[in-house]
Amino acid sequence: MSMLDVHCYTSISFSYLSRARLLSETLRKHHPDWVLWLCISDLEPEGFALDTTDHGFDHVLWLKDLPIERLESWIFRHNVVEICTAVKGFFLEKILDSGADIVFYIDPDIALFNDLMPAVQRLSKANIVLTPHLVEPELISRQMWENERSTLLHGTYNLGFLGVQNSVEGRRFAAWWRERLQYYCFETAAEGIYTDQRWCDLVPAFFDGVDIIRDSGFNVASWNLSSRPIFFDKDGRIFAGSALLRFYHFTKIANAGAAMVDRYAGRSSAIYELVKWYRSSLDRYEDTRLKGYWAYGVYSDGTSILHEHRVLYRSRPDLQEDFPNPFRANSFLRWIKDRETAR
Amino acid sequence: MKNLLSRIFQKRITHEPIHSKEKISEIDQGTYRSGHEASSAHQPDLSIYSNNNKPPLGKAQEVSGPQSTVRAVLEEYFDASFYLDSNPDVAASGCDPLDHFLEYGWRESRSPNSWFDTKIYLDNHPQVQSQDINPFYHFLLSGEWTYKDNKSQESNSFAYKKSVARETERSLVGANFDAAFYLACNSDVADCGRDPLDHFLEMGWRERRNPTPWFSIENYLDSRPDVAAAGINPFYYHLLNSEKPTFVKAVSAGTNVSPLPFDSAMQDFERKVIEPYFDRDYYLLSHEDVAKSGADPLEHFLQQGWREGRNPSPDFIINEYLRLHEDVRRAAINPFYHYLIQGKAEGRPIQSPNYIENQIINAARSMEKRSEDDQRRSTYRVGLSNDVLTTLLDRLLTINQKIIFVSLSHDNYTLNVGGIQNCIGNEQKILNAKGHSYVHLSPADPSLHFNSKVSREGLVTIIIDGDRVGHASQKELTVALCKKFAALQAEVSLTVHSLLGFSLDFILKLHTSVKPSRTSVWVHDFSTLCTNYALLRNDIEFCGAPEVGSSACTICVYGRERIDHLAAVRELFEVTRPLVLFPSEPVQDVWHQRSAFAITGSRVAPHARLRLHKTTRASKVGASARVAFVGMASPHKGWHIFQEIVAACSKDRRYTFFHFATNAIARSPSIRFIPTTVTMEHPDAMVQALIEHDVDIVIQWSLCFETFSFSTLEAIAAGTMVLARVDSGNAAKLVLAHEAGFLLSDKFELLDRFVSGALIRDLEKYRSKGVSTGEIELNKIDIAYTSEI
Repeated sequence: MSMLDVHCYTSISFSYLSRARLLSETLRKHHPDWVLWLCISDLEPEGFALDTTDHGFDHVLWLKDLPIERLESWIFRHNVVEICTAVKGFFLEKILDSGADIVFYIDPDIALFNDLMPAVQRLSKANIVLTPHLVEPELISRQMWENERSTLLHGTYNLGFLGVQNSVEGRRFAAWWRERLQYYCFETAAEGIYTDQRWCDLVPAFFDGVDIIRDSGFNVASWNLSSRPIFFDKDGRIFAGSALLRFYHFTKIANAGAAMVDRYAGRSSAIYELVKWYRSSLDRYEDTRLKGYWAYGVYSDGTSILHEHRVLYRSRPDLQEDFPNPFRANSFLRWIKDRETAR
Repeated sequence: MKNLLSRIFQKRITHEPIHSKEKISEIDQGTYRSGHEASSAHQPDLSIYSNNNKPPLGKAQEVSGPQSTVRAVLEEYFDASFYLDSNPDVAASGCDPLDHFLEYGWRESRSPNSWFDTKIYLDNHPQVQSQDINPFYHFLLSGEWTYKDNKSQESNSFAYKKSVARETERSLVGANFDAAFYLACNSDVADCGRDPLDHFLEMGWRERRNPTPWFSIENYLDSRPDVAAAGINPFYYHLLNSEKPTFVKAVSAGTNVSPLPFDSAMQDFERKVIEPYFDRDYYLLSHEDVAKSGADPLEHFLQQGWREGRNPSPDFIINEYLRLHEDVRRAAINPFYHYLIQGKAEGRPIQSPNYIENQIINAARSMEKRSEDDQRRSTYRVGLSNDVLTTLLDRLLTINQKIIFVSLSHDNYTLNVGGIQNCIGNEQKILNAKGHSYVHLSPADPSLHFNSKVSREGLVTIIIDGDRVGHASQKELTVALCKKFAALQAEVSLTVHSLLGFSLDFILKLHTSVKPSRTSVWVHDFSTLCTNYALLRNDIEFCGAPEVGSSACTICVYGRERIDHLAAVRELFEVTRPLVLFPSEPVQDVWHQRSAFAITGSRVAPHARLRLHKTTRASKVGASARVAFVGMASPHKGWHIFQEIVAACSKDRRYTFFHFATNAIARSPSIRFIPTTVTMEHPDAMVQALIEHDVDIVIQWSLCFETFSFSTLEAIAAGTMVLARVDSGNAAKLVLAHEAGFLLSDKFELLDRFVSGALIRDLEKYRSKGVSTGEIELNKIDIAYTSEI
C-alpha cells in the first residue's frame, strides 16, 4: 500500500487560492508523501505573480495550456464555477498520464482533519470512489425538501471529492467524464445538468468497480450535518456521527453556507469551532489583490461579463462562429451593445 | 346562559387582564405552563359558544351584558387619547370618552383605538349591528381574539395581530388601487365577480398582476430581489417606503378618525405591535445611556435602538435575527417588528440553538493575544529601591525563623476573592501559627499568561505574613531574597500555586537562587497542561488535554502556543522536581493521565470538607422554586447557560432567580443579585446567604473540569439541590457523593427540565427525603507539608 503513488489535485480561480493553500496545508499534514497539483482557470492579475516556490503544491496546471480548440470561445461559455469544474476531466487525464497510481480530486474549500487512507485502501480494489451528498434519509419534511430534493436536482454524489485508480476502467471513466464536461458543464439543474455532478449519477451504471463511500466522516458539509453531529473526544479526535471526521467541505462558508451550518448544527457547537478555525486559517493566506478577481470575468475593456451574455453565447452557434474570441470588447460585446441600441 | 356569562364576566373582572404585558410575554416564549391553570385563570371560556364557534348572539341583551361588565372588558383596550384626538366634538363636550363610546360612539362608527375599525367590523358582522351589540366588545370576546389552550393561545394572539396588519395593508393598498384598471386587465377576475382589491391582495400580486397602470409588479420584483425573497406584497412595500406616499384612509373605513400622516400612522402601528413584547425594564437596565437620557425606552428602540443592535427583550437578539435572516437585513426593517408580524408565523428561529456558544467561540483568542491586551492595560508602578527592599526584608524576616515558605500565585491573595486566594490565606495562617514566615509573590500586573519565552522585566508584588511589602523588580527581588535567606541560614520551601503571570525564566532563577529544600506545585487549575488553564478548547468545552498534534489542538486557538508552553512546563518540572498537590481525586486522575513531567510525588489535599448538621430543611417547597447561580458570572463558569434558563423562564412563576457573588456583572430585572463574599473571616458567608434566602436549586454549570469547586460544596452545605454538568470534575463528584442533585449531559437537557417542570417534581422528591444543611470546614493543617516538616 505504501508503494502507491497517490496524486491529488484541486481546481481554482485565483480568488480561491487561499482555500487551495489551506487544503494543501491539511493534505501535507496527513499525507506528506502525496503529489499535489494545483489547476488554475485564471490568469495572474497585473502586479501579482504566483509564488512558484511557496504555493503549497508540487505542480501547477493552467487552463490556458489545455489543448482545446477555440479555447477562448469555450471558456466564455462558462461562469467561474462552471469552468473550474469543466477542466476537471482534462486535468484528471493529464495526471493519470503522469503515472499516478491513484488520483484524488478535492475541492479547494475542503480541509482534512484525518488521513484519507480508507479511501486509498478502497481504491486498491475499486476503480472509482464517490461520496454521496446524503447517506441516510432525512426525517423532517423541511430537510427532505432542502436536502433530499436538492440532491435530486444537483446530483446524488458530491463531486468535491473523487478518487480514481489508474486502471483501464478508471481511465475509461476519466475520458467519459472529460468529454461530458467539455460539452455540458453548466449550472442548469432544472435542465438536468449541474456542472459535473448530475453526470456522475450515471457512473455506477456505466462503470465497473464503483465504490460509494458511505462513511459519515467523508465529505461532511452543511447538507448532511444534521445526521452527522460533530464532536470531539478526550483524545482530541474529531468525529462526524460515529466516524472520524476525514474532511469537511466548507461550502460558501463566508456567506450563505454559514446560515446553512446554523440551520443544521443541531445541538453540537463543535462545528462552529471548525468554522472559526477555517476562517481564521484562511486569513493567513488571504491576498487582497485576489479578492473577487477572475481574469475571465471581464471583457478586454474591463466590462463585467454578465451571465446572460454567456448563456446567449453558448446557445448560439452562429455567435460562436462569428466571435471566436468573445472576450474582445470590440467583437461580441459590441454586437450586444448594437443589438440593445437597435431595440 | 345568562348565569354562565355573568360568571365568565366576573372572572374577567376579578382576575388579571389577559392582555397584560407579562401574559403576552409568556405566550411569546412558549413557556406558559400547561393545564387548567393557564386556561381558567385569565381567559373568558369561549367554549360556551358551542360547536360552530359562533357566539350565541340570539339574545342581544345577554351578550351585550350589563353596561358595567362591558365597560370592564373594554376599559383595558380603549385608547382614550386616541378617541379624544380623533373626535374633537367629544373632547369639546367634556364627557368621559369611554362612556361616550359605549353609549353613542360605536353606533356612530367611531373607533375605540387606532387598530380597531368599528365600521369595517360592523360591515363584516352585520348581525352584530342588527342585534345592537357593541362591535368592539363582540370582537374581544370572539374566537379571533381569545383562545382555549396554550397552543392556540400563541397562534391566535398572532392571528389577531396579523388581522390588524392585514387591515393596514388593505387600507394603504386600497387607497392607491385602481379597481377599474385591474378589472379591465384581468377579465377572469371580472368574470368571477370577486372584489378586485381582495383578489389583488390575496393572489393577484403573486401572479404579477399590476394594481395600477403606473406600477409594474414584475419590474419592481426584478429590481428588488430582497422584497421578492421576503414574500411581501411589492406594491404595499413600495407604498410603505415611498417618500411621500398617498395615504388616504380606505373609503370603506369611513370612521370619524382624521387621516394621519402616513409615516406617523405606520410608526404608530409598529409601536402597537411591538409594545406588548417590549421589556422596558430590561432595556433601561441594559442601556445605561438611555436610562440616563430620560428617553422613553420604547421610543428609543423604535427610533434608533434596533439599528444600534440593542435588544428589545432578553430573549430577542437583534443582530442574531439579522444574521440568520439575510432577507430581513436587506429589507432594513426593524427585525423585532418583522418577527412579530411575519417571521413568527413563518416559523423563523429567533436564534441558533448554539447562539451563545458561537459567540464565545468567535471571541476566543490565544493566551498570548490576551496577554498583549493585559500589558496594554497594565498600570505604571514603581518598584522598591534595593535599599528599601533589603530593609523591609530585614524587618519582616527575623533571625529566629528557620523555615521560610515562599509561595507564588497569579494575584494578591489579600485583595482578591476566590477559592485559590482563600486556600493561600489559610495556608499562611496555618504556617504563621506554627511560627514560620510566609513570603508570597505575585505579578504586579496579573495576567493569565505563563510566559514560556523571554521574560519581561516585570515587577513582583511581595507580601510577607499577609502584609504587603511592595513591588520589586524580579531581578532585585531574587537577589535580595537569596541574600536574606542565606543570612538567616533558613530552610526554604517553595510552593507554586499558580504559574500565571510569571515567566519560566523568573521561576527558574528564583528556584536556583533560593535553593528550596522542597518545591510543591498545586494543580488548582490546568495551567501546567495548556495555556488555557481551564482546558477549555476554544473557550467552550473541556478538552481533557489531548496530544498537541491532535485535531482538537489543531483547531483550537490555544493549540499552537501550547507546544512552547508544554516545553517550558516540562523544563520547570525537570529542574524543580516538585511534589504535586491536587485538591481532589478527579483532577489527580486527569493530570496523571495527561502529563509525563518529572515529579517527586503527588498527593490529594482537599481545601475543605463539609460538616453536615442534624437539622434538615423543610420538606415543603414554596410556590416558586428559588434558583441560584453561585459565584463569578463568567462564561467558563456557565453564566451564559444560567442566563438562557432565565430568559426561557423569566415569566414563569414556578421559578425565581438569584445570583450570589461579590460582583454583579450582568444586570437583569429577572435575576435578583445578592452580594455575597466569602472571606477567611467569613468562610460560611455563601452557605448562610443561600440558607437565608431559602434557595432551593443551585445551577452548577461550569464548563470547566472543576478541580475542587467551593461553590458546589457551599450549595450542598446550604441544603440546595444541585444541577451540575456530568463532566464538571469534582463538582460532579461532590454531587454524586452527597446525593445532592442531578448530573446532566448538556444544556438542552437542563433547559428541558426547567421548561417542562420536571425539575419541580425532582425538587419535591429531593426535599421529601430530608435534606441536611451544614458548614464548610477549611483544612486546619498544612496538608501539603505535614508529613515532611
